[in-house]
Amino acid sequence: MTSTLVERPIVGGGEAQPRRRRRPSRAPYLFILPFGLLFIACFILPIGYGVIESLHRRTRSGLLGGDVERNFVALDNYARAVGDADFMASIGRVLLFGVVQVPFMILMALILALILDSASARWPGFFRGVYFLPYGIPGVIASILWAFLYIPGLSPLVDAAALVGLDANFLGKDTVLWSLANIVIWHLAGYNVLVVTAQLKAIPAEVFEAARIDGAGAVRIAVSIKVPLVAPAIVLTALFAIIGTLQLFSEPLMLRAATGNITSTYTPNMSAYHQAFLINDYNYAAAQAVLLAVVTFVLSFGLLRMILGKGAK
Amino acid sequence: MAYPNKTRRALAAGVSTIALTALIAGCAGTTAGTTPSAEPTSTEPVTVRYWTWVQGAVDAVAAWNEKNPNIQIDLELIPLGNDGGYAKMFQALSAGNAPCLANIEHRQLPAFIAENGVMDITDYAAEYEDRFVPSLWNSSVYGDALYAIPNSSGPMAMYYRADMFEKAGIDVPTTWDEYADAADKLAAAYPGAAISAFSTNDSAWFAGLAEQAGATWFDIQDDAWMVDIDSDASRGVADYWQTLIDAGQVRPMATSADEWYLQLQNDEIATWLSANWGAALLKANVANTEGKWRVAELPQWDAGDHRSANWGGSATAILDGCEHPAEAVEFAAWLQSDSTSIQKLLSGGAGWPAKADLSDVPAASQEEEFFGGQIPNEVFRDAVENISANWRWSPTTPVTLDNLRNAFQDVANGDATLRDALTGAQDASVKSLESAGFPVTTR
Amino acid sequence: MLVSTRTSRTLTTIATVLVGIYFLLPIIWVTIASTKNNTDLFGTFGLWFSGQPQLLENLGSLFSYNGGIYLRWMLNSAVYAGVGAALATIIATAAGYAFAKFEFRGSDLMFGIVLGGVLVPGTALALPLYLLASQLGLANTMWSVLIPSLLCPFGVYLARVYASSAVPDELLEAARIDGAGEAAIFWRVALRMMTPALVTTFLFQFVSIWNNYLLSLVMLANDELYPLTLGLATWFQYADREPILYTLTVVGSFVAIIPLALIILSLQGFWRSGLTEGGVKG
Repeated sequence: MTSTLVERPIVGGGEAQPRRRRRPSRAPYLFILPFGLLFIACFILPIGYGVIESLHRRTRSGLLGGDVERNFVALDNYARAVGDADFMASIGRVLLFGVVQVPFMILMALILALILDSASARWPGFFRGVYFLPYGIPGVIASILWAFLYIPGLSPLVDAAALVGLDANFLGKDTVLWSLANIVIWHLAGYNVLVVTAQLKAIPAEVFEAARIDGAGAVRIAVSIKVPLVAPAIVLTALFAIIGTLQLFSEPLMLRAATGNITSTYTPNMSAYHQAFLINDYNYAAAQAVLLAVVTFVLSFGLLRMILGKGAK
Repeated sequence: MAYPNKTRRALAAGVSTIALTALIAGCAGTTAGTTPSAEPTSTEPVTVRYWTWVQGAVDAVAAWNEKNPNIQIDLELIPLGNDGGYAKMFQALSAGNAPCLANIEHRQLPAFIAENGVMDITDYAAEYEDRFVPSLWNSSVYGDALYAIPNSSGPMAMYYRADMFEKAGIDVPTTWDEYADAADKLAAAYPGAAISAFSTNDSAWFAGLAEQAGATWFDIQDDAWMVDIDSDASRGVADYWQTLIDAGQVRPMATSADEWYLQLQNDEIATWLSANWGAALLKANVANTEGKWRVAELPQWDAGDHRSANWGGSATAILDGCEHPAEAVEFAAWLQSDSTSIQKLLSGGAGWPAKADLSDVPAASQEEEFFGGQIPNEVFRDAVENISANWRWSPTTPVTLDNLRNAFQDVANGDATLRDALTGAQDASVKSLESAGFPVTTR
Repeated sequence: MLVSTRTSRTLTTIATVLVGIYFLLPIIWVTIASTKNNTDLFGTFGLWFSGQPQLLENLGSLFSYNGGIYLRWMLNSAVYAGVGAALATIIATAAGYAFAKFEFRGSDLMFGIVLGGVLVPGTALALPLYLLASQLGLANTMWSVLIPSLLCPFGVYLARVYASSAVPDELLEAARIDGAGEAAIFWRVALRMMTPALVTTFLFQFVSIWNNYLLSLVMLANDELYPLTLGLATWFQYADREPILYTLTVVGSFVAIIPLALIILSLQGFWRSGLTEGGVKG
C-alpha cells in the first residue's frame, strides 16, 4: 500500500494554501455507470416487464389455439392469485416456515457463537470453520444430500431409528416441511455464527473488564452484555434469512423427487414456475412472482422500520 | 475538464441501449406459429437436433447417421416429459432455439398445438402414411392437419408373478371381480403383500383404467371441448380401487420409483397393470425376479370382453422454428417404420410400435427369459387391436394430470377418496380450459 | 452454583463436538457413499463402508458418462460463478467507492434505490428476467445466466461502508495532487486498501451465483450450458428411471463439494474481517 505522500502544512483557519477546488468531476458517474446499467437491465427492466405482463392475459379463440390475443386485464391476474387456494396456501406455508425456522436458526447461531466465544471453548476457530462448511455447498446439492439421508432404503438415519424401534418418516405429509427447515438451518446456521462472532470480536475488551471487576460470571456477561451488543448483526441476518425463506424453491423441488407430499405448487416460487413452464400461462406466473416480491419487500421493509424505530442501527 | 466527450458518448450509448431494450420489451408479442417454408431437400449435409427420453433411440440414431451422411441427427436424451422434459421444450420454444424433432406423448400434443409449438407437417408426411397403423396416425391429426409422426402406443396388460399366484392358489383373473378375489387369496398366502400398487405419481395410469371402462374424459362436441372426468364409468373404476385400497390390498404409492422397485424385489407386490414398455423397467430394476413374471390380458369388467387401454404412447413432432422439416420428417418416418430401428427401439423400452407391419421385427414376437419363456408381445399385439378409438386429450392435459397427482397423494395420506379426486380433477380441468380461453362444455 | 472450569470445559467441548457432527453428517455420508456401487448404496448401512469400495471406478464413470458432460458442467460453473463474481465485485466496488468518496447530485437517491435492490432477492427476478431474455432472443445462452450474475447491490453497500472507513480522503487528495487520474487512483490506491471488502463481496457473490438454481433452470434448456447444480439436479430427478444416476449423483456431489469446501475454509479469515466492517459501521 504505497502512495506518494506529499507533506502539506496544515494550518488552522483559512491560512492554508488555497486548496485546488475539486473540479466538478464526471468521475463518480463513470464509476457507477457499469453498475447502473446492469441494475437497470437486470433489475428495473425485468421488474417493469414482469409487472406489465402481469397486467395482461393471453386468450385464444377456437378449439386448438388458432388466434392468440393479448389483452390488458388490469389486476385480474392478481385477483386470481389471491383467490387461488393453492397459491395462498403456498404463501402461508413459507410464512409459517419463516416464522419458525428463522428464529430457531438465529437462536442456534447465537448460542453457538456465544459458546465458542466463551473461555471454556476449545479450538473455537476450528469449530467455526466446521460449522461454516455447509454454507459453501450449493443449496441444491445440500438438498440432494439430505434427501439421501431422508429416503428410506438409502438413509442411515432411518436405519438407525429402526434399530431402536422408531419409524422415522422424514418425508411424511406433516414432517416434510420441517425436514426442509432442517436443510435450510444446516445450510445457513454456520454463516450466521460467523456474523455474530465478527460482531462479538468487535466489542472492546474494556467492556468485559469492567463487568468482570463488578463480579459478573460468564453467563451473566453473555446475556447482559454480549447479546445486546450483537443485536444489530442479528437483526441484519434475520432480515436476510426471512427474505431467503420466502423465496424457497430449490430445496423443496429436490425433495419432490423423493416424495409426493411436496406438490408442484408447494412454495410461491414453485407455483410461479409451474404456471410459467407447465401451464404456459406467463401472465399469471408473472403476477404470482410480482406478488411474492411485494410481500417480501413489505415484510423486510416493515421489519427494518420496526428495528430502526428502536434505534439499534 | 475530464474527458467530456468520452463521458457523453458512454452515457449516450448506455441510454440508447436502455431505450432499445425498453422498446423491444414494450412490443411484447406472442409466439406466432410459423408456416414451414417449402424448402427442397438440400444436398449439403444437414444437422437436425432431436430430443427424446427413449434410451433405445441412441442405437437407432447411430444406425441412421452411419447410412445417411447428408442428414445427421444430433440426439440429446432429456428427462421424461412429465419430469421436466416438456418444460424444457416449452422453454426452448419460447427462446426461439428449440430442436427440430421432439418426442411428445399423445396426451401432450394438444397442449403443444395450442401453443403453436409444433409444425403442420401434412404435406411433408403424406408419402409415409401407409407405413403406419391408421388409428395411431389419426391420433396426431387435429382439425385436418397432421402434427407428428406416430411412434407408439402403450397397450396395457397385466404383468403378474406366476410364482406368487401359484403359491396362493390363484388362477389368472380375467375379470375385475376375479382380480378382487385374487387379492384376498394373496393376502392369505403372503401376509403384508399387496396385489398391486396404485400409482400416485403417474395419473395417466388411472386414466388408462378409466378408458378401459369406457370413460371418455375429453371430447370435442359442437366446436367446444367437453370435459367428462367425473362420469359414471370413471366413478365405477374409482370405487373399485378405493375398496381395494381401504382393504390394504392395494398400496397407493409412487410407481417406477425406488421404494416400489424395492417392494417388487421383496415379493411384496404381485402384479403390475402396465403397458408393453413396462417390461424394460422390470428387467432393469427388479432383475432378481427374472423368470417369475408372466403377462396376461387386462381383467375385464364384463366376462368375455377383451378391452384394453393406452398408457403413454408418443409421437415425434417437428417443433416450431425447424429449418429442415423435410429432412426431419424423413428421419422420423424412418425411425418409426424401419425394421432395424424398431428392433432397437423396442428392445430399449419404447412403446408398442405404430408401424403397421411388424412381421420382420423379431423383438415383436420373441420369447423372453424374464417371462419364463413366454412371448409377451403376443399379448400386447392383441391388446393394441382392442383399444377404443374415442379417447382424446385436451390442451390443458398437464393441469388435469397434475391435479390428479396431488389428489392421489392425498388419497395415499388418507385425506381424500378417489371420488374426491375425480370431482377435483373435473373442476380443475374445466377451469383451466376456460382460463386459457378455450370453449368448454360439460355433459 | 459455580461449575468448575474443567467440567465446564468438558461439557462445552462435548456440545461443540456433537454440533460439529451434525454439520458434518451429510459430508461424511457422501464421502462414504461415493465408494459404493449402486446395489451397496441401497443395501449397506449408510455411515459405514461396503465390502468392495470402488471410488476410483465411480469417479471414472462420473467423468465419462454422457461424453464427459460432468466436466463441462464444472467448467460452466467455474465461469458463471468465478468470472461472474469477479466482474461483479469490480463493478459493485467501483460504484460503492464512488458513493463513499464523492459528493454528487442524486447520490443519496441512487444509493437508496440500490439498497432497495438488496432487499429484493434474485429469485423474484428470475422469471421476469426470463420473459425479458426470451423476448430479446437471449434465453438459452451463456449470457442469459452470466449477465444477471454481474449485479451485486450488496457489494455496493459493503464497498461504500468500507471505503468510507478504510480509505482516507487525504490519501486520495494527495494522489490527485500528484496528477493521478481518478481511475488510476481507484485501481492503485483505493482497491488495495479495500481488500477485505473485495474478498467478502467476491465470496458472497460467488456463493450467491452457485446457489441461484432458479435462474439457470429457467434460462437454460441446453444441457451443455448447465452449471453443476442444474446438471446434478437433473440427474437426481431422473435417477428413478436410470438407477446408475443415483451413484453418479452421489459421486458428483462429492466431487462438487471438495474444492468449494477448501476455498471456504481458507478464506474464512477474510470473510470475518469483511463482515466486521460491514456490520459494525452500519
